[in-house]
Amino acid sequence: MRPTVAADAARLLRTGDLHFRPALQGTPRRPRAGGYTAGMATPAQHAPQPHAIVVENLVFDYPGQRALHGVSFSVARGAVAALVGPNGAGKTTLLSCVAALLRPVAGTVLVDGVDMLAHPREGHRRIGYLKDFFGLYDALSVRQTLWHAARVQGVVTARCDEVVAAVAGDLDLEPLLHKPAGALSRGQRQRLAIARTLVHGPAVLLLDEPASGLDPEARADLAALMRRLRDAGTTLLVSSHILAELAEYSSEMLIIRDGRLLEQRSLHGEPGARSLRMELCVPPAGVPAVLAAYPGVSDARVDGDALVFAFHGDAAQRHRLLRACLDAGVAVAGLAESGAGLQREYLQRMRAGAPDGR
Amino acid sequence: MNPELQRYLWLELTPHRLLVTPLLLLALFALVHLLADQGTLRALAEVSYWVVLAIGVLWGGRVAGEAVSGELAHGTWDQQRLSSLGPWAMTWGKLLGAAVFTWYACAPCIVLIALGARPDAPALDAPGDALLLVTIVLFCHAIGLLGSLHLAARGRIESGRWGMLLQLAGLALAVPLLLVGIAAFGAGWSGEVRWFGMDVTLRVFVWCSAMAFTAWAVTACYRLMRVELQLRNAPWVWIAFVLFCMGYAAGFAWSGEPSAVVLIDGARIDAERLALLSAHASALGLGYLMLLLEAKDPVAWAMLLDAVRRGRIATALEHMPRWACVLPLLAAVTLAAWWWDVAGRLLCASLLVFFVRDAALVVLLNLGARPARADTAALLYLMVLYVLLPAVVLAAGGSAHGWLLPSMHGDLASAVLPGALQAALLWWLVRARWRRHQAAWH
Repeated sequence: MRPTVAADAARLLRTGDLHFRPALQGTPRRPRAGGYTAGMATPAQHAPQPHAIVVENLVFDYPGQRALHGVSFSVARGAVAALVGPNGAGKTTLLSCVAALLRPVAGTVLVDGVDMLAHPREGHRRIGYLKDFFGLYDALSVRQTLWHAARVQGVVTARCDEVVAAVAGDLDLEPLLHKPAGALSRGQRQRLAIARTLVHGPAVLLLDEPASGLDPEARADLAALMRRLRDAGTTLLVSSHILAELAEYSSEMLIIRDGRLLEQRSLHGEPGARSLRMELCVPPAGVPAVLAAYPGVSDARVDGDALVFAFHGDAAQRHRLLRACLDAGVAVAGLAESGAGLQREYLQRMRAGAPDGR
Repeated sequence: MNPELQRYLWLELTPHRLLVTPLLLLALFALVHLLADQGTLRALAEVSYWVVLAIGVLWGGRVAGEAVSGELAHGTWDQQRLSSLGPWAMTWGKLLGAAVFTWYACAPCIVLIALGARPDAPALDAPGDALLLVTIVLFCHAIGLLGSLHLAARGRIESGRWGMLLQLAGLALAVPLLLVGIAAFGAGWSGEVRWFGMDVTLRVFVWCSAMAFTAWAVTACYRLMRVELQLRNAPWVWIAFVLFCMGYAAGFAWSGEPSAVVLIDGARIDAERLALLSAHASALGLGYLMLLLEAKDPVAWAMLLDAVRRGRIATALEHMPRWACVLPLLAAVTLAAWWWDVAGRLLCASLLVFFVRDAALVVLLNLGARPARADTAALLYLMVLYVLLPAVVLAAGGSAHGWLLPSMHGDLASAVLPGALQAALLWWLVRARWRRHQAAWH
């Protein structure tokens, strides 16, 4: 889409009240006043607009320093975008602008159809944002923390107990509901903070270094949660330095450096596809015909002893693909999601973009 | 229920506090009962006044002052800003919630005050006194919250030094009202206040003043909360407040008697014209207050200049520093004084140019290498300019009026021109530093 459609959307938002121009800009999905439901709702079901996040020509200044130089990008509904870049590149500033915590000098930010600069409070009902450094009210219990988060995000009182129970169940916080937040471990606090951002059932999640400081087990749990959210159709924009984990659930990558967006690329071809790696018993001479012609497969290539390709399909379809390859005589030794692609592509891009070529 | 208030109820009204506070108050009241040598209820009411002063005003003002700065310190404020709660709900939730425990402790005392009014006072006066006290306590809390929001606007980094200053400034405003209330309570509210020529009973005047200033303080909290929640404010409410204060101050000078004359520094000024000078002085005071308290944001200044260049008046007004909004009012009063041939017209003009000079000094320092210390440095320089240097000149046998201090004597050239030249020089330096700043920026 990008500039044209984004600019049109922004213009429409500027010229008319969001709620009174449904025919022109698509009916903005109402925020879920009912809040979180187990497994989350699927925003894409009712989505009139293809992009959950549209950022156009975003400029942000700190005193004496330009932090963002006309950044433009969009994230498709249901996509998981990895926001990567070196320290000081502007990732946190960009996320804060998208979340309407910082007011940019110029530009437009649309989240779930809401102009975040014109209607920040309306926009906050539709997003959840976990900052890298977050605080909790240590004296409040886990249940009180989640109840308060639900209420301030507009969940009706009658539904609060239900959504708190649902989100606590999904994040394994049920045994801790009556424990004060101050008594939780680092990983438990992180889960509580994530639960707090999810409790109102946002259509878009912004996560800034969500795995920072977590032990390996907690990171694995976090990655599993990200996959569940992705599968349920939530749009995620995740900033992290741990690229191998981002690769597990990200569908596209935004590379930012010195306040400029260097590149936005899909990691798996079309949105919703996943990068798979098929290990073979012997190095292949080329991409087998059965794989190249299989529905849902794209961008297939040979990578050493393996075949790497994008595949659009669920677990059952992956099973059928595997069976088809075996039936065709392909010497398959294993099939798994590829986690190395993002890191490789990031490093290639950063080296290509480095002033000294390193 | 307001979720912010609910959160404070959970945090502040713990079972321990709910149980112990009434026991402590009961013990205090029992002691007063045993020691009172005359009417117990009256003695309890008087002690209750001091309890409200200690808990409601001092402690309550302190906790209200931490309502936002405390959240900044603990990293929870951004999460609050991400909520979809509106600015008004957030304001009153914090205003009542942050100090909810002090209200819990003060409630029985306020009831005792209402019951313990003088036996000869009209029946309706006792609840009125209690309501006045509630209003004054609320005013203190609003001032505390206002200070906290100012700290948040100033970059979320300064806590102790400015927090304490704002706290003291709030108390400086609130305590006189409270002391007047206490004195009036003890004296049975005898006495009158002359305001715009009207004789108003002290009770009514204090009551109306407390109500009005509390309403303004709460409005100010709401407006600053809007800014924190990324909503935009035009300066009209601030200008309305300045006009209100100008009128309020002028009312004391405007006696309504044409023959009333006041002598100021040897000059005879009739009361009506003195009212004009009072209005000027109050606007000037508010201008200086905002000049030192308001956040100085070069990014907002750049956006202001850009909006002016593009002719976007509404955007320019949103970014206009509030001290600058006082300038047209000061200029209008000065012109009126000039037109009316008021004896203090030179003083008005002189004060105006010195204010413009001081604003340039503050802006210049804030564009320097260490803007975090700029306001403190500006305060120091202003003390040197207004106290130390004039004292040196005076000790040397010279006169500081005109060049170092505003003057009401002489003519335009001697009273106003020196200040205007200093202002022009400083604004020229601001322009040069701004250009260097912009060049380094982009």
